[in-house]
Amino acid sequence: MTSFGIAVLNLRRKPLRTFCLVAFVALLSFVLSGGSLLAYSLHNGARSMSERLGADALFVPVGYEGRAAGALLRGEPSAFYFDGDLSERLMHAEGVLRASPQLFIATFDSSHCAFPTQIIGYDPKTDFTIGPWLTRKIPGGPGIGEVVVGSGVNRKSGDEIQFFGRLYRVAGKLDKTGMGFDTSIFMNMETSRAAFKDYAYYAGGKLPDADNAISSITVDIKSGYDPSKFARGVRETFRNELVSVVLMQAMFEDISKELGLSIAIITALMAVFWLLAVGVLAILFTVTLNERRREFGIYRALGATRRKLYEIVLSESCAVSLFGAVSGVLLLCFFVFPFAPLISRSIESAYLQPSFKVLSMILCGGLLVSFLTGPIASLGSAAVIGRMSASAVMKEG
Amino acid sequence: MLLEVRNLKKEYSRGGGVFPAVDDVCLSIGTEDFVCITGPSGSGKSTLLSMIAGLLAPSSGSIVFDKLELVNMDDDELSLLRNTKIGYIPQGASVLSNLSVLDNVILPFYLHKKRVKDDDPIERANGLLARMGILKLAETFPPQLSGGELRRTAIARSLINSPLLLIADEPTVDLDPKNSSEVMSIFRDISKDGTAVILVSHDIGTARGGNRFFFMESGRLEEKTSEVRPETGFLSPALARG
Amino acid sequence: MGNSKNRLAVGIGAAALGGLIAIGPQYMFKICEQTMHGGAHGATNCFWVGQAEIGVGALIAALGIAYLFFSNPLIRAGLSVGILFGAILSLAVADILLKFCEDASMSCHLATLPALNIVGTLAVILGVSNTAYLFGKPRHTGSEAPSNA
Repeated sequence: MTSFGIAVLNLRRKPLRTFCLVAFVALLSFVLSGGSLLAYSLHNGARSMSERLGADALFVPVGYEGRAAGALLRGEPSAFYFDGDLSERLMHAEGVLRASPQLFIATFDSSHCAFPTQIIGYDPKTDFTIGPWLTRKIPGGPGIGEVVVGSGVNRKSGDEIQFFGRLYRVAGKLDKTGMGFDTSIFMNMETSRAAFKDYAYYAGGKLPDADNAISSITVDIKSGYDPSKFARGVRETFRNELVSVVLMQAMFEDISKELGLSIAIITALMAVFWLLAVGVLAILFTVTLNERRREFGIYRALGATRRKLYEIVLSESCAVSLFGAVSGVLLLCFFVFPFAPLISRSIESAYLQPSFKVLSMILCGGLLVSFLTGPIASLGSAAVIGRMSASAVMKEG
Repeated sequence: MLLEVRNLKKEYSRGGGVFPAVDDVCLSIGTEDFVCITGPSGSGKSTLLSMIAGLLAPSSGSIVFDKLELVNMDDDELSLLRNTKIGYIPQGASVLSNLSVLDNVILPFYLHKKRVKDDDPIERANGLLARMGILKLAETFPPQLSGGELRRTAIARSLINSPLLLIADEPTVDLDPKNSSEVMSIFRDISKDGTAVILVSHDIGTARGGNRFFFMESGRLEEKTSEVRPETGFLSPALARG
Repeated sequence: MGNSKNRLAVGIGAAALGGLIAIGPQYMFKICEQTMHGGAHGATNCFWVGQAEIGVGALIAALGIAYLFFSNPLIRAGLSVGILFGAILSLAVADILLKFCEDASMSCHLATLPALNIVGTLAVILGVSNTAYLFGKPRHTGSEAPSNA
């Protein structure tokens, strides 16, 4: 019958009160751990995005800037094209250090295709954005007739996948990026041109020649050129051809600012919630301990020291906090983690859940802070109970 | 002598003046004594008991218990003394409702680090409960017990550490005559076993149970050897003055 | 736990979880929109999962409702085992026996599958704990624990 044992006996005899306290701490634990995870995942997604959007700028047809961003960030299937001759001129425009074409094809929701998704064709000879991290995972990249799938695609290496009535072999599967790449299909330029021919066959309508069609051009700007001036220059030069320039740094800065604000708001809300929780728990402990003054007076009458009373009171708050903190984290794992892909999709921003090691640290951190909240909140009332005059309290009963 | 109280005073500030709750009390108790103290409400009986038990510091005077001067002891020393050598039965409901009868009885055993490693408090507690006639209620919780059963639980609890002195504040106040009589019989048995008993009651019938009888009024204590008028329930002041 | 508390808790719990399994994929954590495309595709994979879960969920709910009406612990133990196996079947249908749609970004993968896994797991936990409780109850008059014979 240690102090902790007495505390547990006390808690078990008042199940409703104990449940309410545990539930409150569980809520705190859920909010702190979940909020931390959300903030970190947004930050992680932003970092992943900056690593993978390696180009300085993107040339796209006018009016398709948003679609280009949607394809990169959210994997929204898009199909837009430059004429082939134009793309050659663009790649040699004033201020371009290096450039590489990309071809976007949106697959159909029909029996010809496995499912609707974004195909991204890239040129392995000139590419400097997708290629480097794609070949880290799959050396050499996909061959002719092969594809590399994003982490969210329901295929594994060696499987086959159908697009426009043609089967392609899956050469590999990428790690999660938290961006649109997770649900995209990657092909080298030769394979994607063949796919584009099939696409044109089924889609019909006015489409550029398959051998020349390009959706976007990733560009690195020569040093010494101001990005904004470069973009203005290109737009001016190619005004009649309706070319738009998306500056990746600007896009990334906008997204970073938004994410930074979101993270700051989440952090502030968590801090406010924690302070409220400490206050509410302090009030709850004070009220419940006040009702038990006579009980503690009896402990003193039986020979308990003041320190023993502190131990019993703090043991009760520790037991409540421990059960609550663990419950909150377990609830998070059980109810939120299965819906992580849905949350990621709903946020419409780069969102990348951390590795298992970092995730464990975040959850442990949330658990620890929640656990400490109870004892901190009960310190005041423990001190009051310890200081009270036992003989005066015995008379109150 | 087990307990020597000399010129004990406890004063409170009240209404701009000083109120003596206990006024110059002297008392000597041996191990064979079963002391009963009676008197009207507010006479200072409970205050005197609290000071003897080390729960309340006196304003002046001396309390020597088992050769130890209580006035010189700090709170932790008094708590240990109260736990190991004094069994205290507070007034009113004192059995903890969160613990079973058995857990209530063994609680004092665990309030301090234990001395003898072969001690088995549960075996001792069961023995005490059997002596009180409530062994079958060991796993029952206080809300399900009667007043008499609760009082027996409190008495068993006060004896778990084999105290030298048992202090009981109004142990029969909320009991019917049958239970009161049984409880007093238990105290007499305890006294015969060599544990000194101090019992406070405002009821004369109860107070007659001991082998020494005191009357307290307005903070002053006086030992009485004269007969009392049982039908009044109290000593009349005239009779108390002999 | 008293007899009537157990019947209420388990009966209502199983009925609620079974109901969620049955109608959740239709109205709450919905399967994909059923659109006819190319004239030949027919219903999506997740449509059939939804249909199967209507049956399994209804079975669990029915067992839960029946549980409310029986005080005999033997019968309740049998119903509890039924709830447990129904819950296992619900998980098997969603994860092993039938396939969801190909595209992992579709709503059936994002919402329906995780929701079915959570509700199914809760039903399994209910079935396991209640069955263990009923078989582990001490024997005393009026509510004998079921024998293992």
